[in-house]
Amino acid sequence: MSLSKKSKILLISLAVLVVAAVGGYFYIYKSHKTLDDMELVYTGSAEEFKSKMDTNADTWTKAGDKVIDLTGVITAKDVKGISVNGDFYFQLAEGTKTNDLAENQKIRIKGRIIGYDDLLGELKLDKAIILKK
Amino acid sequence: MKKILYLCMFFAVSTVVAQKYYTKTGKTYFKASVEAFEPVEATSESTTAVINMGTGEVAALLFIKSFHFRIALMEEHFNENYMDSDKYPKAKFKGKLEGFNMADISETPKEYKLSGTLQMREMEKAISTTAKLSKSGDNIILESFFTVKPQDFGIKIPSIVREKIAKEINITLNYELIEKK
Repeated sequence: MSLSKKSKILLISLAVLVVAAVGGYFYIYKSHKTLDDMELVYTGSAEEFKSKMDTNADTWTKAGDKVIDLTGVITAKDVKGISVNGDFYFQLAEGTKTNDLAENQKIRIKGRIIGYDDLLGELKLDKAIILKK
Repeated sequence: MKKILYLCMFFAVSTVVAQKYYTKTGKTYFKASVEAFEPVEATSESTTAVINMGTGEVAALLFIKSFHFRIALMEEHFNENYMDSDKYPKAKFKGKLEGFNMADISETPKEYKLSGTLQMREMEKAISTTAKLSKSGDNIILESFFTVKPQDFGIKIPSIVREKIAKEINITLNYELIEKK
């Protein structure tokens, strides 16, 4: 069975249309970036990062989506996040509970830098994931 | 004796003045939707806000990129094309609750006039609105609402999407503040 030229054109254009629609759908409704999609710029102690940060705190605010992985001590906690070394506030990824975390506990955590909060004098991060406690 | 009394009074007054309430995770919601089109709305749950209980002064700081949209592509366009959030990362508000008195705050919300300045993209706009304050346990809840226009902050909306974005953007604040110790 051979298709007429007209049917072939129709079929091909239909296929192209479907591909474009599916492609368009995935482009528009693509998923949100996770920490793994962002650039990890530092891994190490919170103390060391703080001394690096002090010289140019504001540039971290303008750096785009950057992730840092810090080891430090929990100095405060609330329902949504924890403070590390008093200099960093990590807002935890949705669904993470802080119940089993305690002050003075050592922690390794990574998160996306949102910016330097000059009202409270700390670097703010979100989407944070606890790596080790 | 008098000296001691004055000294006590001085300390009492200065502690009241210094008392502050704050949040690091305040909710700021904006809506710029036009009916029949995809909703243009986002929430930041990372707003820092501080209220000075002695003077009623309010300061808030919001990082533009902390706004979360349901659609990731919309979030990307918001940050890159409209707000230029790497260049202008912050929105700041400084204002005052008129006639504020900590003693008046109870579980029943009390309305105050809130006026101040919103600074974004190196431009400033005077804001005058009302804010409701109430107590929830040991915490204080601040709720407020105001509108701004994209052109107030030099935000250009391309003509192709102009019909899909509201002329006035509604901003709703809901901050639960805890005492700063």
